Amino acid sequence: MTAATVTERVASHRERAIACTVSETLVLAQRGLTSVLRTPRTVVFVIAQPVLFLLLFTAVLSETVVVPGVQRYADQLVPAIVILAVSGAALGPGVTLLADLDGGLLDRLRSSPIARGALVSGLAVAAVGVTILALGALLAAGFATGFRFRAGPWATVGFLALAVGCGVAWIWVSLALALATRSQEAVRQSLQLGSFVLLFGSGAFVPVATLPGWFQPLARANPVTPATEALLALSAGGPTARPVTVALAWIVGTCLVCATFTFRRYQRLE
Amino acid sequence: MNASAAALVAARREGGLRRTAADWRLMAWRNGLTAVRRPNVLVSGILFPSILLCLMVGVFSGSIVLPGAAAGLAFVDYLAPSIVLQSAVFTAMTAAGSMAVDLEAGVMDRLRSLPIARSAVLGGRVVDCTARTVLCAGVVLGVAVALGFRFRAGALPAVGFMGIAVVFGFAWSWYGMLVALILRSFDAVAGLMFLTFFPLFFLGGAFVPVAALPGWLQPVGNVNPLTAVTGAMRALALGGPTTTPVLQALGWSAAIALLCGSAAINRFRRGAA
Repeated sequence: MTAATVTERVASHRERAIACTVSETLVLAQRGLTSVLRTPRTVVFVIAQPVLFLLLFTAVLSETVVVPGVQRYADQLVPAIVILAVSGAALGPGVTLLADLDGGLLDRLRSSPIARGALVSGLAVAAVGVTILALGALLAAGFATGFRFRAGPWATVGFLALAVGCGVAWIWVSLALALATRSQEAVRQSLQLGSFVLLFGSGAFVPVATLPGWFQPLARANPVTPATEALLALSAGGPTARPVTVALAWIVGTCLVCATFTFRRYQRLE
Repeated sequence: MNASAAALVAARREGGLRRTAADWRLMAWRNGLTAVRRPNVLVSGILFPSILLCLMVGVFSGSIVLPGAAAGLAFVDYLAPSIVLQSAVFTAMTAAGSMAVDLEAGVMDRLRSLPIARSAVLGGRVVDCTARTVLCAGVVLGVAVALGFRFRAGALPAVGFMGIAVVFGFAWSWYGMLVALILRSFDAVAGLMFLTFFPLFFLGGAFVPVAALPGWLQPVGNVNPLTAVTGAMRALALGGPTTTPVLQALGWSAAIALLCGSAAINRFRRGAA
């Protein structure tokens, strides 16, 4: 390739910046997704963890937990495990980003004429694919335990969109944590422990009103509470406007803060 | 130099038992140090079980109805023995995980080339793991007491309660070491331990009695080492007949330790490590 054509390519590249960034993101997303799908262990973990916990919680809690107003505990449980599924799937991008940085991929990409941020956004897009995979497995298991969409087709679409939205928020948290800590183990530990604390410290398993009094303000301030309330309303029925709005606000806010932080840090990486 | 190396080896052979004991102690100390310096040990052995206990007691105390013999029991009294056991088992799992890291990094090969007792490599693991099990399970027990859990059967059964947790953790650590010797990867070991422990734990009366499980799952609950072990711990803490459950718990622990322990040692000797 002569010098002229390289210059030309670089020039044309700049001109079509947004289109190029998008296509480069998609290339790296495909690469990320392929590497996940070729690691059977990761696929098994991402799919098996939510399915296993749904089945175990159903077995243990469906006959013992008495929640006023909820007839089938499966209805209450599936939204809770959705949070577990999407946070489990979000472990991947943060850990992979650090592995890529350690492995020298960033240096390789810097010498290629592609958008710098494409590595990060590619990983985020790939992780959305993994999230959808985990949600599909979870919902299939949910149907086996008696969970049904009872609020109509539009609410069902809303449920799926909101579930993926929660996943996107977790993915950006994972990427931000990766660049904040620069340690794969720290990302794993803090994400797992954090999702676990948020999930159990919320109104996901039982309605907030049945929690002990001192616990209720904490549970109400917890973003998982509006998220699971919204998912419950979109599947089992009930007023949706308020929980959906609050959940969306949390999702948008989390994505904005974490994505800004991630890209800032990423641009300054040596 | 050759002669002095031979002399050293000869001298070590002569040392026999005392040397071996010193090697075990040294390896246990080394493992303990590396464990303390890895945050995941504190997280999975102390922090995770403590948070689980606090949150589950907080979330479910108001809405869970325990059936059968456990009816009328405060949820914290039912749950605490399970979580203390979980802490013991998770601590044991971290020992297996660290061994997988050693295998990956080649530390095991290095140890083999040193003039130390071979038994110290696995033995040091077990000693360190047991010591940390006592420590972690003790801290989690403290959290349980703060939440309202009490020993109602006296001091001696309370000692037995911790003893059972430690003995089962010891047995489980052999299972973990066997898995680590076979899979030789930290992630794989963590994943498999997780996938085998949690189903046994959930269906083994950890959170609700086996009687509350759906009918078709009850056999899984009844023939389950964790049902026996948490049952024995509960009997020792809350009172009631203890002989049969304690014997069952010890029997399961001995079976797991012997089976996995002999397989692990066998594999280690054959040079798989």
